[in-house]
Amino acid sequence: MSKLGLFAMLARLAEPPEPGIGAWQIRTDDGREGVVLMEAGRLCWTNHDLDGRFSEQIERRYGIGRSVIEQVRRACRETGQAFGVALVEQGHLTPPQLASAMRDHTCRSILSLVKSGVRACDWVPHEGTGCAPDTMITATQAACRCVALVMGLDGERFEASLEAMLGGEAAGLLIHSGARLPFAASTTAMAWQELRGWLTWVLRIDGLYPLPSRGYVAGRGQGGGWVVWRVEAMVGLAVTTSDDAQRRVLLRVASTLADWAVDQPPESAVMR
Amino acid sequence: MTLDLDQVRRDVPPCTGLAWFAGEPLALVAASGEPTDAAWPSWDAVAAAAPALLRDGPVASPEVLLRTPAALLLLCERADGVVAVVVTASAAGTGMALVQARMAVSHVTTQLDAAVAG
Repeated sequence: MSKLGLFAMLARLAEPPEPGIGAWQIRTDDGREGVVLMEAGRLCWTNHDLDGRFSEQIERRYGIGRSVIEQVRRACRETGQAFGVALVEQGHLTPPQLASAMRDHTCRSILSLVKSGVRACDWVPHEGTGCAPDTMITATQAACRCVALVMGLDGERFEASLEAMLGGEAAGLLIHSGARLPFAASTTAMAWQELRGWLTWVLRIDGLYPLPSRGYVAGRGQGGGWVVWRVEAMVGLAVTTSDDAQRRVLLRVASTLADWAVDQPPESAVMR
Repeated sequence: MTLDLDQVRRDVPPCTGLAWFAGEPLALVAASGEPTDAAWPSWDAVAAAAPALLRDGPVASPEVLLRTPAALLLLCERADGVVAVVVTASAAGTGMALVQARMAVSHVTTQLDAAVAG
């Protein structure tokens, strides 16, 4: 198997055998191993022994002292309670902080695996479930977050801006027109091929006619439609699968685009 | 085929540009006014982008609405070509501008149908 890049690896991860519950076992060029746990086709957790430990990340992100972390960890070993759950129960983290840290850890581990050179990627099904839904991300979300991470940008903020338009009722992307890369994908799942097809199409129409900033274009077809909008370099896409959802998303874009807030990364970040 | 697009513009005053495209690749057949209020450089640029917007998107869309801060452009696909209408953004908002654009498309469609029947 030839070495997989980030998008090639995520394309593989995105389509686990049905029912999509299990783990990808990954081996890298340097002989190390990683694991990507999946549930219902979404990524729950990724680990790689070269990547920093989860506990180090929470210490760095939320300022929880090492002694506290060790104390919780020891208690978890005795009781069998999950480390993250214990941190929340003892008030060291809020549930959204834990979910955010877990998603971030997953993406950093994926990048670490890719950097090490992914050589083998094998599916091991299992029947265990139980990941908290808000800690899981789709492969397309992971791809976009990894892109943002590589550029030193905050992928969660891009996702929040995108979801403010989508309202959970459309699939979509937030694309940087200069970098020609997606910085955020919707919480509503899309197939990997859709990510690629939609990205290519948005970049193509942006080349044919760059929308003015705070402008939008919308198409309505049988059972749904799409909306593309733009604010400076950031281009959003929403794809709906019902007439009602299309009407609501279009109304939201039309009525809020003038004030819609989205980060505009500096050129030095996106062009490196 | 004779189209009087100037008459349509007179009938729908907020309409500042109208065009009829046909053929493969899509090319301008007749026009009245310019698309520049919608920030398009020319009708040829509209013809170049229309197939990608109408046919190649995530959902094939016989009607595409493009809104800029200054204007609204409506593309409507017919079996034999594409009608494009530019309407200046009004104080009444996008909804009214869209109604006016659809009225203009309807006038053009009536002329096209009459031309085909005749």
